[in-house]
Amino acid sequence: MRDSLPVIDRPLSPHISIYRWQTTMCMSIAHRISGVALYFGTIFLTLWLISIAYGDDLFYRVDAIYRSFFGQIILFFYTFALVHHLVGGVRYLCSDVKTSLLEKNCSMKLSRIALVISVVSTFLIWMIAYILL
Amino acid sequence: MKEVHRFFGKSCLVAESTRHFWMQRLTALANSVLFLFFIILVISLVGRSYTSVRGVLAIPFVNIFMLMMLLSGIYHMKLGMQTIIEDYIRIRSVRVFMLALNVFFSFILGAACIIALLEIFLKEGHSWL
Repeated sequence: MRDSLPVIDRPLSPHISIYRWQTTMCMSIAHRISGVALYFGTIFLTLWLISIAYGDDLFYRVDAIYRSFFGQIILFFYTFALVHHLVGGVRYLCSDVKTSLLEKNCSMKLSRIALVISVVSTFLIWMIAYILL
Repeated sequence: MKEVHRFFGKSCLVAESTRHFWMQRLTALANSVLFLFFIILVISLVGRSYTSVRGVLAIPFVNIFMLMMLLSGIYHMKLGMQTIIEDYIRIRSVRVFMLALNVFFSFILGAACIIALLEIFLKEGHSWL
């Protein structure tokens, strides 16, 4: 089998320095950044589950941290990263199936819709949570 | 060792890359449903006491859903981070180290979640077990 391009020289898009900033591009970068945020955010989720399994003493200690001002800010951004990644991910899945969605105007419009949905539903989730609290 | 060098230095096997791509999409599809459920679950758990939260997570349906979500999610995040490492880390030794760290990190989180959820599930004493 003939070797293809070495992985070490995997081509990267020079978008940041060359292209004009656009919504689709920002959403693509944000998708990656939110992915990294969720990667490390999973630690909080795991910690929460472990504390429940361990007992009420540890649970209320973790709960107090998550309830604190800093905890709430981190959880808010975790929610936003999750919803953003979720909505963006569904958009990418759709364009995988139906490639006509990648047409310039269509993808521009869809990326804006995805951004609006993710921001609105993040605030909606927190509003509902605070109302139920 | 030559094979390992080949693997990280040159291209990955084609089948491996295709599986990476496919599993990324497959887990993404699963996650889109599972995390919607998760968001609703967390909203319904806000402000509840320890016993109440534990009781909800011990419900077989909820417990299995959480387990599937975490396993699918952690698999997805391992694949995603692998792509990021392969994209940006150019120094081979650092890259191999980071790729290994990524696998270990994912497995540790996965193991911790499985154990925690099993403990919550089994301690509840379901009669049909």
